[in-house]
Amino acid sequence: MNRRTFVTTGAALALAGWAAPALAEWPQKTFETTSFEETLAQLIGNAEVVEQSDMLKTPSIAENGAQVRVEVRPPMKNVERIDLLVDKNPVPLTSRFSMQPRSVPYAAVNLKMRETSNVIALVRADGKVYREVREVRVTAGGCK
Amino acid sequence: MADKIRIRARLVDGQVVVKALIPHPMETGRRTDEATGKTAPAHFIQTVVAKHNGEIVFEADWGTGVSRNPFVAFMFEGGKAGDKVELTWRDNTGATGTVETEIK
Repeated sequence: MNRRTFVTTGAALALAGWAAPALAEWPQKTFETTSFEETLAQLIGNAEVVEQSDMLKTPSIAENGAQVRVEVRPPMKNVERIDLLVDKNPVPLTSRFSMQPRSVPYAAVNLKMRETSNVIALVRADGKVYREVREVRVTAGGCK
Repeated sequence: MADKIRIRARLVDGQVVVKALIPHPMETGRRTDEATGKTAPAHFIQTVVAKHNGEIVFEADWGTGVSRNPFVAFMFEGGKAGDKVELTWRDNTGATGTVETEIK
């Protein structure tokens, strides 16, 4: 690479970066992890965990495990991301929501639940992980 | 994927509330297809992004634990009635889908 191509490539990259801020990478490793404990370790790392009790909404009983409505409304400021897990699913991490500058910290999604288990919300904010766990009794499983 | 994405964006107390239903099989790669007796290959949405005025206001990464024909809702600030919101998904096969709606 000569100096000219270096300069123009650099400018093009800078421009591309300015025009389209890079999306967070799809967390392939965690979406391929089948152990719940290992999933937690990957998502929490060394962060302090704060137990929370007012942000996660789920049904207490789900007649259809194929469609379980889960809603998270974290009350804290500076939310960076919300991870939703189902501890007994074949892959515990179901979804991640990455907050953007204009995002309101909120997400709702329908999840599959293979059997009665816990839905876990992990909310990362200010270097901490806020956790809330809710058990959902599943009367007909929805995960194959 | 002939079905269209259903989407609605509404202004509620100054914040935009977006709800969408995305037609997609969300195959886990573990299900046996009863017709063929073979395992149906994994086929699921991995990312969903929404933009307002060209700026990203929502980003989600999904695995196979999200339901078939996913329902998703999110909220953002700084939108007004009549503005456009664009939602795009991409799945593990590289297929994508996009829909645009007006904030009401």
